Amino acid sequence: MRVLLGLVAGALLVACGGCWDRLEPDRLASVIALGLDRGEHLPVRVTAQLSIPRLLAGGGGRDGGGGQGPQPPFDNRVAEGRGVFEAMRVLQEQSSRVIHLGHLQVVVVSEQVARTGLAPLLDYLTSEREARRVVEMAVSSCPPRDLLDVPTKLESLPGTAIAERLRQVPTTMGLPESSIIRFLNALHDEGIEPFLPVVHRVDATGEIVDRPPEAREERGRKAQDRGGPEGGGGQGRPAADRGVAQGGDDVIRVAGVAVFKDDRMVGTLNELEARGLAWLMGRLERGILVIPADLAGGGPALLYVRRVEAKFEPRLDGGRPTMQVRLKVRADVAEWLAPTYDLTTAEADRLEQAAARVIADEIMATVRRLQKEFHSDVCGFGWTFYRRYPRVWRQDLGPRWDRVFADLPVQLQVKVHVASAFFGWRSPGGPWR
Amino acid sequence: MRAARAERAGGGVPGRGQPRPQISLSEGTALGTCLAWPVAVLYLPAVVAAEGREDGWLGMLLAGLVLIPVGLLLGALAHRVPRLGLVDQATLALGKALGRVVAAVFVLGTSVLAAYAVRAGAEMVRLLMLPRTPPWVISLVIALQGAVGAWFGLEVVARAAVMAFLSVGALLLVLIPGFIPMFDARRLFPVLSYGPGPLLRSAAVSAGFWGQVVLLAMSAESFRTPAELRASALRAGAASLATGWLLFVLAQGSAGWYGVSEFAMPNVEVMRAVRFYLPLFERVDVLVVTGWTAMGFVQVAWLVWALARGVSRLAGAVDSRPFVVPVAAALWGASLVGPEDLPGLLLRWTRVLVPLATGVLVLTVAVVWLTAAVRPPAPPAPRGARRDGTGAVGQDR
Repeated sequence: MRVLLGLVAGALLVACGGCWDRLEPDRLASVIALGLDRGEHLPVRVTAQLSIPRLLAGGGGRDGGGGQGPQPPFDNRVAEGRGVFEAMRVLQEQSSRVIHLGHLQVVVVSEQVARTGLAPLLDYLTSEREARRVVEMAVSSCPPRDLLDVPTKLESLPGTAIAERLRQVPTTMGLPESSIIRFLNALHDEGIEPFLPVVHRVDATGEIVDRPPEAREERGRKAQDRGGPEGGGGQGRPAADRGVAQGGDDVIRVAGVAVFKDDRMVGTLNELEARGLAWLMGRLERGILVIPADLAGGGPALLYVRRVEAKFEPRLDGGRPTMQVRLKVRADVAEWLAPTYDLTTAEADRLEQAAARVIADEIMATVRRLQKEFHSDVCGFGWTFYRRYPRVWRQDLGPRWDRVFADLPVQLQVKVHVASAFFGWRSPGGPWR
Repeated sequence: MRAARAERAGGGVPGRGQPRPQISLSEGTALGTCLAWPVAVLYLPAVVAAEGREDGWLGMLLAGLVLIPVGLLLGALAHRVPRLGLVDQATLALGKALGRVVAAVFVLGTSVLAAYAVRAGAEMVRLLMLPRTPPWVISLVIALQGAVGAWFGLEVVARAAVMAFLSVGALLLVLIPGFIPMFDARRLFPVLSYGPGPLLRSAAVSAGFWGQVVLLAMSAESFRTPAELRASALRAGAASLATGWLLFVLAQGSAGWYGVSEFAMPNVEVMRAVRFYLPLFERVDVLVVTGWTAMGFVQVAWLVWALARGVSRLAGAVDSRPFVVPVAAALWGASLVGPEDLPGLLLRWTRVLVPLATGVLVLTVAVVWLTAAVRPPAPPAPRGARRDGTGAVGQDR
């Protein structure tokens, strides 16, 4: 009996040890970031940023902390293949260690590749057991290879810097995080299309440097023609309604949104249009809304958005679909560069109306562009129709939603409630003191 | 000596002069929960979502209704033919020949579910942890530990079940808040937009898993009273259903029905997207695997014990322990049969084979109960009494 139990225990020990899957940490090459681009010789070029723990230890960064000299603590490996899987296999053949995706933080895809479709990449990432579903995804306006090679001051690895910027997207842009699972959800859900944030290389003033100057000017002119401030979504200059950075910590900026139709990118929303999308999603809390001086009266006002509630009400009027959007916004006056600091009821009313107008303009500019230019329902109007009228959706609306969405009448109602950021209606630092 | 061994192995013949193992209500509840939950929580959501679309969560809830008749059936049979396991109940109620045939059908159904459990566990370990390890090795380990558990007897397995039950309960309390940031209740709607078909199909598949508490019939003699058996079955079913359903709702609300149906193990996949615990825990799915391992091992140990017990009683043997290793070996072999690809396993086994096997088991118990109700069998000898009625042999534990 004891012999039998001993044999069983021995067999369990041997098998549970995982002889076939033994993987020592010091034999792994951890991929922090993946870049996907068109190759020079083959359709897919993968750039994998491998961290070098030896150089990361002791707080070493690009300056080689820990006495390791100027060598950066990462190594960008590039491989080409007919698909992502093949390119990764080539990368493995180049490496003395096992390529490990368990620590992958971000996947950056070039605009060129995004326009041909992300299905092969998603297939690879979902079938690859090591990669987690919380890995961030983004579209880059420059080749990802260039983005993954930029020097960063606060982070040791450019991949980490990009991932951290993308994790801040819910706060900075008011949009949902850009993880793989969220992209897949939007891809699978009825009546909604996915989108991803766009990552740029910028200089210390926030100027986007990934396009030639003439292209930037051209795009900036187009943005002006559309009535929006330029610069946000890769238009070359900082937006008119935002501050200008000086001596930024690094040269990566997330601005604008890449709009998809199924898995293919169809266009880009600039920074202002992305904010229109954020309003629609009811997520622009803790954001800043700038009311121009001519609307606010006296001087420009900065409103700190505390709460946003967006409600979609789909309707079928005689079989014709219409969408009513109701938006409720609560905001505080964070800064008002007016001659007087007193926020009287009349002035609050004026600010509320002005804010509602600004918000409505931002939203409608976005909706118009999505409807007329991209034919992509990233705001999820179709999803609400699907849930409210499932049978009608299945039989009529769903199959032809692209065309329906393009001509969908959208009625927008914005209500803004403005309050003082202080306990009273007067600023403690105001001139009345 | 032999009697003592038989007692340890839970192989004593109740009411025939041999002491039998006894399990309490809480142990029975934990044991019943371990019967279906480990596999159901991993593989059932994908099939339910594929069959039920948005209605899957309703179908799974609807399937919970099957628990009530199954629990009542177990209690009623134990009341009619007390202090015996299913094989003895069947032979007593239906006669030796027919009773053995019916019992053999029950044992066969149990073996199908056991082989499925071993294979499902092996696939889970292979997919999540040991991708390069051959499946036969993992199946072997699972079958071996099942044999070890069964060798030590039902009471040991039952106590292990309580520990696993409590551990998994604590894990769920930790894990469930992680879903909240991703959860969107709108993904659970619209319901019944495709009519009752998807709802009923998903309910049928789910019932195949929740109905597996019927397996408790094999250890009916170990419960103190029929009421405790019934209560254990109902409580176990309710616990399995509540946790399994909650995880399914959270997964569907986080990834949508299509996302859930797309992966082999949706709960694990969704948990791989949980950010709630970053940077404390990067791999929350490891906790799920730990929980499954605890309950899955108990499940397989119980199934090996039940099969060994069933085979031994069919063979007329008193001690079931000599049958433990052959049964475990047979299970290992049976678990290697079937498609090598996991989607094939899911589609063919989870969707068809498991509900079919569970249905056969419930039907078998119903037949035995019906016969016993129509023609009540002679009651077995009192517990602890010798055949000649001269006194007790041992003490029940």
